[in-house]
Amino acid sequence: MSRADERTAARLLADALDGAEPADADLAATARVLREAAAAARLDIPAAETERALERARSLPGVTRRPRRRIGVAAAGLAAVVALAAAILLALPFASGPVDVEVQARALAALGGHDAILSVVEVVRPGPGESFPASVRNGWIDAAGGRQRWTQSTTGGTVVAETMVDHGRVTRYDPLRHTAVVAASCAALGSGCADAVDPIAFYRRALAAAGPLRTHERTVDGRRVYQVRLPAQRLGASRIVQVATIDAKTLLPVRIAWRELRPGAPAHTFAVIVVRQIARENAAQISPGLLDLALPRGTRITQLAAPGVPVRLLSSRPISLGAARALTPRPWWLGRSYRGNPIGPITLLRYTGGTAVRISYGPTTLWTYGRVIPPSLLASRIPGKTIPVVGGVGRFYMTIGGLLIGERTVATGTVAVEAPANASTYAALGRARPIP
Amino acid sequence: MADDDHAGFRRSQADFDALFRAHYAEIVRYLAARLGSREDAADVAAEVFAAAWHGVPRLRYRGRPVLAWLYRVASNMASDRLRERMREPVPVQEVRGPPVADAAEAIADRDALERAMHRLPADQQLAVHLRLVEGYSFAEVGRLMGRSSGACQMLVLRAGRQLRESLEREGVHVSG
Repeated sequence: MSRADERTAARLLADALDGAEPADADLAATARVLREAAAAARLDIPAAETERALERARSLPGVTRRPRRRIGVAAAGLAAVVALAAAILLALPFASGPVDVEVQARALAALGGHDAILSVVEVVRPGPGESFPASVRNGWIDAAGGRQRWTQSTTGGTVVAETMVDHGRVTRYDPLRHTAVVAASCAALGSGCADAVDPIAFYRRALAAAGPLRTHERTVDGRRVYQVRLPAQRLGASRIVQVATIDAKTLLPVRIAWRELRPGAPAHTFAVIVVRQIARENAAQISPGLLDLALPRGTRITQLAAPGVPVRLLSSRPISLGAARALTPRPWWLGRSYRGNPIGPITLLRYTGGTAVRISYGPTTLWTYGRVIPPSLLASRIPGKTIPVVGGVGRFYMTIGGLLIGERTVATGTVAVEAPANASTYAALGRARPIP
Repeated sequence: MADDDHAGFRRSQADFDALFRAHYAEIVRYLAARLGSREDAADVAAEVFAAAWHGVPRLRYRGRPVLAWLYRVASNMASDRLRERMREPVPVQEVRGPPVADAAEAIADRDALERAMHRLPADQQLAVHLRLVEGYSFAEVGRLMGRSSGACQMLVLRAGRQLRESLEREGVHVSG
């Protein structure tokens, strides 16, 4: 890679760390590992610990309280003006404010560890001037598994949307129209991430990734709260942000506002989410398939790579086993042979929005893919069942042509098996593993 | 940064307590990442601020905040402490077992990530710390490290790649 390419990659990574959509999977992975490393290093140092350390430092030999320098009248006047300006700035909402890493770290800790599964109930209300009806959102967030699943209903109980987010890929089913949209990321949906991603899942991820945030302590209805603003997405000239109100005692979010900021226009709050319940669940007690979304028979499915842009195949080429091994993330396989069938062609398929690797073993085909579902698998989705397999949960779908597809979410994306009969699909899904 | 201009620099020089309260936590976090121990970090941070008590009033303003000086001293002291450790005999714990195949488990395994962080060169560690842990902009990171913003972006890119390589060597695959 040339120096110019390196500089470009460094700048794109910097943008991704600032919240922009990563340019490719490699940058996304690099950004992710950096954020994980930073989250681990974001220690909570309480103010009381700092004060104790200061007392100890003062008692060290040679360190005594130094007399403050005399400040002239003019300088004192200037300092007063500066202090007044600072006070005005602090009083303006989000114009400025103290960076409080401790609040951020404790708020993240309150949501449970990296492997916690959260059950949430939220009421979504329109912001001023918005006309959409209020609704109730009920769902699950699995941060470690990179998955969210929620049901949105009217206040009268009618389900209006079923949504699953799986490693950034969004599947949203509209039961009233019997249609579904599968998007490579929430940014590919015309309505954007604010509509497609659970606000608490977003809040959790942003707390971990955004770096230190300006925190404002307030009293609302006699309750002491903190407020933070989290960057969400750019939509043309506007920026979408999340303003989270956090209970100062429990450090859990109680209210989340989605807000649009346009240059030269006042901030516009378009939705307010009142958090009714957040509960940490034991992952071992969660039933398999709880976070899955099986689309009903006959659902019309559209897949998008970018807003309004359907997924299409850009290229398809055979690659060697060595080349497959060098891919990041590494594709999965069934070994050098499977059920008497030696490993056949390995194909790298590039789509708008993502890639997939296909490995054939006679009648059995193994797929590894990330954000984009290979259209041939998507087209044949007729709901089957969700059952545990070795190392996770498998979802099984029968194709119109009689082949069974077994699909399993893994940490690096999704692995799917196409095979002629139930037993071999189930067995193959359990045997699949990363190429060593 | 509060002491980013000459007047702020002078205030930082004059008020040790304010300097301590403003920056103690971030210096401890930085040292904990370098040394892998919060207790050691607190010890060394005390030495950094003791040095600041004597050294900061004598500093001359060269367009960089006092915090840049604190980080430089902290970095040097962390290096000294790490060299001392290398001279001390320590029991070696052998890691056995197959490599971890599932990235979710591996990423959740903060030990692997911390080990990877410790293996980063000091300048890359500092750039990652300032940008991602403390949330300074790349322009501010550049001022604190005495480098251009682009150079700091490059340090973070290299750090990210090296972290991934270290994790890969431990059998952890990272996806976006």
